[in-house]
Amino acid sequence: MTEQEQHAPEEVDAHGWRPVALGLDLPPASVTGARIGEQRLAIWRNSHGDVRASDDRCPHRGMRLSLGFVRDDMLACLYHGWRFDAEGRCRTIPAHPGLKPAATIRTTTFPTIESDGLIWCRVDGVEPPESPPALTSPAHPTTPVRTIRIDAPTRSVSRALGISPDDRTARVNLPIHDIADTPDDNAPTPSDAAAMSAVTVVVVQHAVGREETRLYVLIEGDAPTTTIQRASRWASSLRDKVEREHKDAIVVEHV
Amino acid sequence: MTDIAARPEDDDRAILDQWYPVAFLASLTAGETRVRLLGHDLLVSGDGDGFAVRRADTAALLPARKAHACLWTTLGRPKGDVVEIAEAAEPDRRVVPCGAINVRTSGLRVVENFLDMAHFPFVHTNILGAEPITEVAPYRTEHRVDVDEIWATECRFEQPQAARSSVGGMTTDYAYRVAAPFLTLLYKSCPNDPTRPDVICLFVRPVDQERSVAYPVMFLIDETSSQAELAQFQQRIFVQDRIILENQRPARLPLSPKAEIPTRADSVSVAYRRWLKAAGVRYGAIG
Ligand code: FES
Ligand SMILES: [Fe+2]
Repeated sequence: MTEQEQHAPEEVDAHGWRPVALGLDLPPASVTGARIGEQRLAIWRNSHGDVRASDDRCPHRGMRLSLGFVRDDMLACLYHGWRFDAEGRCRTIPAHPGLKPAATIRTTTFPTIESDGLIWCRVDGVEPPESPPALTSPAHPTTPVRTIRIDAPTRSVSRALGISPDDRTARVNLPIHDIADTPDDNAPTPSDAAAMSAVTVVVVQHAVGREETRLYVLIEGDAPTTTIQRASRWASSLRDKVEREHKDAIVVEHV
Repeated sequence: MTDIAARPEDDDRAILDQWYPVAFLASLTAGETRVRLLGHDLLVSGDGDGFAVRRADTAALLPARKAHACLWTTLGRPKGDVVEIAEAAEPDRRVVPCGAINVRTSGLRVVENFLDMAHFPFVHTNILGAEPITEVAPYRTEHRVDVDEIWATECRFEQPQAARSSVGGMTTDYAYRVAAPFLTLLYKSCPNDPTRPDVICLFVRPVDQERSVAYPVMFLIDETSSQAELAQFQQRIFVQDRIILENQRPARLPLSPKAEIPTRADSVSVAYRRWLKAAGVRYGAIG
């Protein structure tokens, strides 16, 4: 496997499957916010684990649904508690418990897929292909590490990762010298050391806005906690480096 | 009017010919204070117990009034004086200004939220409402043409702690009154006096189209709670509302009946929007 693996470049920012959350970050019966291009989304999971995506705007009084909650396997709005089912249809209006909401009251929903530890969504209205880009072979499940927000454009992040800005996924072998940052009294056992030297981090980037990139960090294969922590530290230092360089670049442009 | 900082157009009389609060009297200090109203910068200066309000650009002196714990001014020619609130004149009323609250949204959204009972169990959980009691019973909404005000009467809601002075739950009776596009008040049955309701006002200063400052003032029958306790109780409620208000999209109130879907519990909100539209209000609104 090469250090980087390139996927088809995207032409439009909001086109195709886009990563919106690590599966890990969305426990059962919870909701979170995401954004693809101009489309703001409420991504939610029911108690059985199924993931759904809805326009992040309640049709009643415009409240952001991503600040709502999941109740009875429906997405509920924080403002007046209206509940929307998996298809986006309003099923409950608490102010009128005896009333069956009209079928026309609904939010727009979008297709989602969860695979390789990531939740993918698409808002381009294109009939979904079978699956989003595979990150690893099915024989190698991924281990999620974390989501990290970087206040810099995606092109700056790509540059730091050594990939083309059109690529969404990078594979990075963690440098061996990182082992040095393990405190001595926690010195790795030989088997840990072997695992560490073989760590491949999979990074999936998503442009949230012009100046904001989200990175989803995963490890190829199973990984012990120490390796997850190491990958997490690597991601933090990548963020710090990119943000610092981006700030410097802005200063230079304005001189 | 795409610019959020824009000023109302000259023919937007429904907005210009109104009194607006610029500050709580108690918070005004000697010297000059700069405030923004409808996209205009104003300078408020105090000396002794008199206050002058001027436009920062032209230095033109604007009318100023002291009323209901606030200093008021106008950029136009209001038909009458600052809103009259009969209860405010009763000698045993406690006047409680609750602290100004900045809200990043249209003042019209702030007023509409104040008129809404359906959110009590979800936003003011265990204070003004609690699940599973979420039903909004039918109430009466009317446009009082003689005074040109919107009223909602015969409103009732079961509440765990309706007021600072309540012990345990009670069914609270409400009447809501909208006296101007950015000015609303409610009359609410009071735990301490069955015949005279508490009055809670929300005076809104539209800073610009999508920013406002709310001045809540209460006129209460309550001889035991301290001023700070009373103000804190209401402040807590307004802070809960602010979380909602700053996360509604769009920030400006849609006046087209198709933009958002109301239900029966929203009849006062529907009447308010219709009344704004009929009056030609555009500032802080869309469609
Ligand atoms: S705004 Fe969502 S339920 Fe009212
Ligand atoms: Fe409220």
